[in-house]
Amino acid sequence: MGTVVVGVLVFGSAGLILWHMWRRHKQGGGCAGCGGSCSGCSGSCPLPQKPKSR
Amino acid sequence: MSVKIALAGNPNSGKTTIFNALTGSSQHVGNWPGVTVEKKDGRLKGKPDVVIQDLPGIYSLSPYTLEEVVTRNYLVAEKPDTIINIVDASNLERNLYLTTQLLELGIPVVIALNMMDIVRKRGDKIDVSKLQDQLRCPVVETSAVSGDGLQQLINQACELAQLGKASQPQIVFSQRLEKTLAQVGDLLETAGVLKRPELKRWLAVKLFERDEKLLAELHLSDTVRQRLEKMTAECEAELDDDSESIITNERYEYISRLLQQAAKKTLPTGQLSLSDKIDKVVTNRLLALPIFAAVMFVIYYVSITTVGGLLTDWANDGVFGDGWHLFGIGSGAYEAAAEIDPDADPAEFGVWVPGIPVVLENLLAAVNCADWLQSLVLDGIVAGVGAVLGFLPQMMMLFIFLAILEDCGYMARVAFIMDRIFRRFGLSGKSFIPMLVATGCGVPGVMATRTIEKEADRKIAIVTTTFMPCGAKLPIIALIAGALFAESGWVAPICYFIGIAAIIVSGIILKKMRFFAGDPAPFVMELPSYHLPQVKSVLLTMWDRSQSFVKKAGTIILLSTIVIWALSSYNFSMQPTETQDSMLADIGRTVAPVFAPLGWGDQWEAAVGTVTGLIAKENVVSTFGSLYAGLDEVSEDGNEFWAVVAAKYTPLAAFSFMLFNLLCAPCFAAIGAIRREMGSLRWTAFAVGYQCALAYASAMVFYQIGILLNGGTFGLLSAFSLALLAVFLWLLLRPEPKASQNKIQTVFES
Repeated sequence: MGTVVVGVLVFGSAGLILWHMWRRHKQGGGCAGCGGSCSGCSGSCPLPQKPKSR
Repeated sequence: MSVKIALAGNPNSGKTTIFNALTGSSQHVGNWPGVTVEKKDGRLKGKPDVVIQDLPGIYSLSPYTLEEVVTRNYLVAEKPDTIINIVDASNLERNLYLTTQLLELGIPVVIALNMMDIVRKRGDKIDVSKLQDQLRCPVVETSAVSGDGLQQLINQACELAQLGKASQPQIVFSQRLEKTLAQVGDLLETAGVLKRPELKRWLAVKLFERDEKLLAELHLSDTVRQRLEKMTAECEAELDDDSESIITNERYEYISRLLQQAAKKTLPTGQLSLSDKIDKVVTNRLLALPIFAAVMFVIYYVSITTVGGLLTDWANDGVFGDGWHLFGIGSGAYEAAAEIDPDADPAEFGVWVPGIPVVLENLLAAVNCADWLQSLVLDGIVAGVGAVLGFLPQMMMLFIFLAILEDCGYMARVAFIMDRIFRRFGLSGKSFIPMLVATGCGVPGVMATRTIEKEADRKIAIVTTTFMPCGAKLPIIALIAGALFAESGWVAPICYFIGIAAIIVSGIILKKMRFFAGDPAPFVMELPSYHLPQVKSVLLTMWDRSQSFVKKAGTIILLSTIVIWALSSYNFSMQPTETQDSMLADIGRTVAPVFAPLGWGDQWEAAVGTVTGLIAKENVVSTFGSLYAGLDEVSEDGNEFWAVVAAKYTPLAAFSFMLFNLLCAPCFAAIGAIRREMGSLRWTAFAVGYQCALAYASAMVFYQIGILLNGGTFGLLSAFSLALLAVFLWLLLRPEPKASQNKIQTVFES
């Protein structure tokens, strides 16, 4: 049971991070490298933004 | 009803600070021009229907620089409801030059007399009501830093936007010039090109100035063009100057008349202010560079070696190690006792706070978690992410110092000092601004190269900007400096200077290539007055950068550690195995020989770290953390990770490893930014190829010559390194070839 709970927590978090990065990538904000977190841009990617997909 | 308000003003007049205060956002603010490269919008706090647009800083509406083009296009084409013209009150004459042009656009203007606190401190006086009367628009005294006057400013702007009443141009030129401008305006009307009557005055001035962009956009007939040219030429002949200079001179004459009535300076002309006196020393031809070197040395020394080093030791040994005594009470007694009895219980000597790995290990054991998952969490994630986060205190110290230097105005002087040096080597001083930005992150650094007008100079800056040690490279520096050169305070500061030296040397080499040749672009920069750094602003900058460091550790680094753990725990048959027999070890051993001439080819972990560093540079350290954490060699102070690194590398090999990772291709995010800014795959490949080649050559020459100097035998690699050094010196010292016009476009056409 402990293994299942810890496994869900670890791999669930990893999945969420991947999903977040994929969503940002789809929105045109940065690539996997910065994950939207490079300093100097205050969390919003300074690279040109594509319009959000509907 | 939605209201659009644009913030326009000179570079460094406080636009972004006002934008942040009005919208509640936290866009990066810099004490040098070129921080706002693109326009950014935000909504007014508490009034979401009011959209505020932060425009790049400009000195005029002439379309010479990218910032001027972006700002002018927005103001003319998108016509905001009101312009808030932010004026640096401590430098009124220069700033009002843009104001005189904004007033001609037919858009309501509110003037924000910013930095009034500095004016008052100097004892100068500005008669606001006289300014208002003369310019025929509201003038509000503000201080962006303290927030004074901002509410009144925004109220005025909203009021004007609702009235929709444009300010009437009151900028009166000489009779002769006014006559020609009236003729040009009438010509535009009769030619039927004046679609927006409110722009008549502005168009007349710009066409009189022979603004090429506007002439092309208006599609004027040949007859109209000829008549226009005749009017302009007649006026030029009478006033004995070219049209652009006539307008510039008359604007400044107008401003001079205006200021005689509305402003009063305490300091007699010619007398030096405190800022000027400091600059006499700080920007002195002989002293400037030694002072800069000393300042950076002290900053890196304190951040990485002394205060920051102590805090990082606590983070590594305590928070991400076994634990620590609260407030250090009992540490000394415990260390003395541990020397006699290694099994002494630290909890008996004070309040013992266990480290994260200990807490997690106990927790995982308590819930009966499977061994492989425990290994993933402890040896993979905690060891990897912990290895990176352990350096956070050093990063925070460094970020605070850099923010202080930036905020007080010294970094702007550094750009000025570097311009003098860069220019001597045929490089543009403008290239140094992206480099200052890149000390935070390479991505905005590469983007900041947009302010360089000359394509060849811009390309050189894009290729070289990421040589500066960004925040992500600092853990690599701190790891090598801490593990192998703990007693030498020079290692960390020297990395900063290696970055600058690589930029200058690369600039000289590239500038001598035919397609980069030519005179450097001019660099105009206003030096802000020195002032005491604002605690809030410094802490915000530090928080901003540290937050991104932590965020990155919790996202991309965490994912990478999971992948590295999986690859280092299983073999190609997918059977659990020791790290030395894992897939990662096999891959690493295949790649590692490439780095043998650099001195660390026998350490496959270093090769793997270098490759994973391409995802994010922090990965170099997290990979070391994951791969070395499980080894048995535990040091006396419990910091096994650093001790293993120290045991596995010679100082020469470790420095070579650090040198390679400082200069080689940046992370994928920065490579992506290079790709976007270059607009060509081939140029991107050239940039990455050049960076890797320089990194490899530098590390190899350093290591091989280091071996020779330490009494090593002369071999094939030594000879090759000396030959490489000779080629490098030849590239550096050879005479400059003649510039070839527009060659740059034809070499790598995208």
